[in-house]
Amino acid sequence: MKALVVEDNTNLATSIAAFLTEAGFEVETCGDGQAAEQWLRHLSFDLVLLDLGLPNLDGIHVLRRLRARQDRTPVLIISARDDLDHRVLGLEEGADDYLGKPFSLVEVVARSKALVRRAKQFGEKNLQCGGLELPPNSPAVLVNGEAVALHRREREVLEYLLINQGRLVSKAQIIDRLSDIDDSLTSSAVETYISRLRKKIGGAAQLRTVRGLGYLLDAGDPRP
Amino acid sequence: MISIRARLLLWIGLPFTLVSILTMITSQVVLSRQINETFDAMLLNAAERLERRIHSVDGELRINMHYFSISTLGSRGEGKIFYRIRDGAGNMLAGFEGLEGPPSGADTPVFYDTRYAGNELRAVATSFPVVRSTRSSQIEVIVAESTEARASLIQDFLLTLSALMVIGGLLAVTIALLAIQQGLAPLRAISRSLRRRSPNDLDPIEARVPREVTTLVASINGLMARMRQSIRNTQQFNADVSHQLRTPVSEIRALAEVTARQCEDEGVRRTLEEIGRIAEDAGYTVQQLLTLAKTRHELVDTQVMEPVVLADVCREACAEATARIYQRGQELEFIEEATGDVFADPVRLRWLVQNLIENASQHAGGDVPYRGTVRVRVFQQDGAPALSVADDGVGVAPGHLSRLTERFYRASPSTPGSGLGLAIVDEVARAHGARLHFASPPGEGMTVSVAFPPRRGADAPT
Repeated sequence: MKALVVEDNTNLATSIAAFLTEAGFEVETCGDGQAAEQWLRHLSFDLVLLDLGLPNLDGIHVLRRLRARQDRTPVLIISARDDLDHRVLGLEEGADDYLGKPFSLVEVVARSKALVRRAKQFGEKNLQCGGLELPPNSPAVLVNGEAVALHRREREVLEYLLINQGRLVSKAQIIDRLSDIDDSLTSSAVETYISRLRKKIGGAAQLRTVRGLGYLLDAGDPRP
Repeated sequence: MISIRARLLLWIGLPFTLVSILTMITSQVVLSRQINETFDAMLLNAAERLERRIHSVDGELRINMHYFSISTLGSRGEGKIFYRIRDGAGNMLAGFEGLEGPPSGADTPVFYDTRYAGNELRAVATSFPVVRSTRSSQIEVIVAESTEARASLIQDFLLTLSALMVIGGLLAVTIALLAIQQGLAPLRAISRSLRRRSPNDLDPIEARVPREVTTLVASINGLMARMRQSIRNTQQFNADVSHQLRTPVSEIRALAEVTARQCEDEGVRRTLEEIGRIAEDAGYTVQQLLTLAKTRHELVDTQVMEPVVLADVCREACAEATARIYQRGQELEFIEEATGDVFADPVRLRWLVQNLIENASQHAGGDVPYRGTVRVRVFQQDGAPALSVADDGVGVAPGHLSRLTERFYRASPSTPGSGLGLAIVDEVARAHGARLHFASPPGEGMTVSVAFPPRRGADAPT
């Protein structure tokens, strides 16, 4: 996975790069809007971390030009301008997520991974969360290395939860995502699949019901 | 300080009363003279008529009273009439002998006041020559009339005049009051519009005002502009400082994190983590300061306010917070009891709910990390939608509740936080016309509720 970190502050750029590298990214850094524009024109990345206040060319312009070229590379904006309006502006210009300074590097990595995961949800890599691993095109899920068979619908629900791990997934989203014209899912069916999945997963990952809201899948062991 | 109304009333009423009194006095003087003259003329006329009745027959003076009734002498037939006719030598010819003659030395006819038989009288004395046989002599005729008639006439006039004055006065005061009411209406309108403003609203008064008030309004507007400028300077300074602090704080935090990750020494690592945590708190405070530096208009742009479904906004805020809450070993619950629109800036409103959730999650445990549930509820209260964020934590002592929205006030100084969160939440709530309420019954954690105003059609709260 290749990531471009566009940040003019060297300390921040190298810190982010260090954490992303540790998380398995191949990282390029650059501290100038024009240079970033050149990088993005000629190379393809799986992720761009973009500061808004850049010398030579503002981050928003870099983003705008990227999207104008029909480039759908996920963009995570990191900025000191934590104005809600700028946030909205960045997202309206086609950014996929936003982090205001000062941010936690752990958060940067988590968001970066989530963005790549979402962009690549039909990719060849295994979806993974805690002790769970879901290989592509496989009817079974690996629970702590052991294959457990899944019903087609259960697999679809699990796949969707894995793609969105660490984020709240509402029942409506699952229904919306998995229903098609011939076969629509009911709310109680979703509940059934979830409870069956929970049994199959065991303690390999946490599949939580958030009352009134939906479901949350994460690796478990909450911060002490 | 006397009110403008009282001043106007005084300055209209006082001159009017003075003018009335002057009018009354002048009228009395002029009227009395006029009436006296008229009555005197009639008295003289009566004397002359009496005189014509006197003729001499064979050297004897006779008075032909046959066709003459004494009562017809009077002016209006009300008063009493007395007369006395004497010849030049002073011999009584007819009438009342006791009737006093005129003060001597005056030419005839002479008018004078006198008394007779207990009556106040006005008398006229004339004398004329008669030819008796061949010698001529003077005859003196006095006619006197009691003064009641003229007095009562003057009294009638004055009474009517005073009644008219009183009615006129009352009318004038009523009209003056109405005029004052009307005249002061623009002032009242200005004060009303100023009173209705929120303390943060320093926009100029734009109402159309009469010429006399424009200077006042211009002065108020000038003052507001200066205040606005001064507040803007402070806010700009705040914003600059916050912005300039963000990057270094981010650097400290990032470097601490990176170094801690690489560090083998447990003690150093813990210190670095602590530095990171402090930087995180500092960053949070800086962010809050930046938000607080915004004016009301920046905080909630009325341009982007629209009817939004409160439950949807709360659900979005919950969704954003869920992962963080569960990472801390807490639980989140959303209870939707009512659906309803509120007129709001959706981005700010979501931010408000997020802050309340974060506040509960951070502070519900008191000195130890909270391990319970954060409950977000949307309900109906007094016909309007409301939301609440509740926890089962240690709660807040009653004495602290009212101070929670004070800037930099912290109920529990040992937990991290800037003491600005609820102050900003309060500002945002106020900007939406909503009210914040804190409740913390002993042993039942704390509940923060936000009650929105009922929506009047599609009107925007101003």
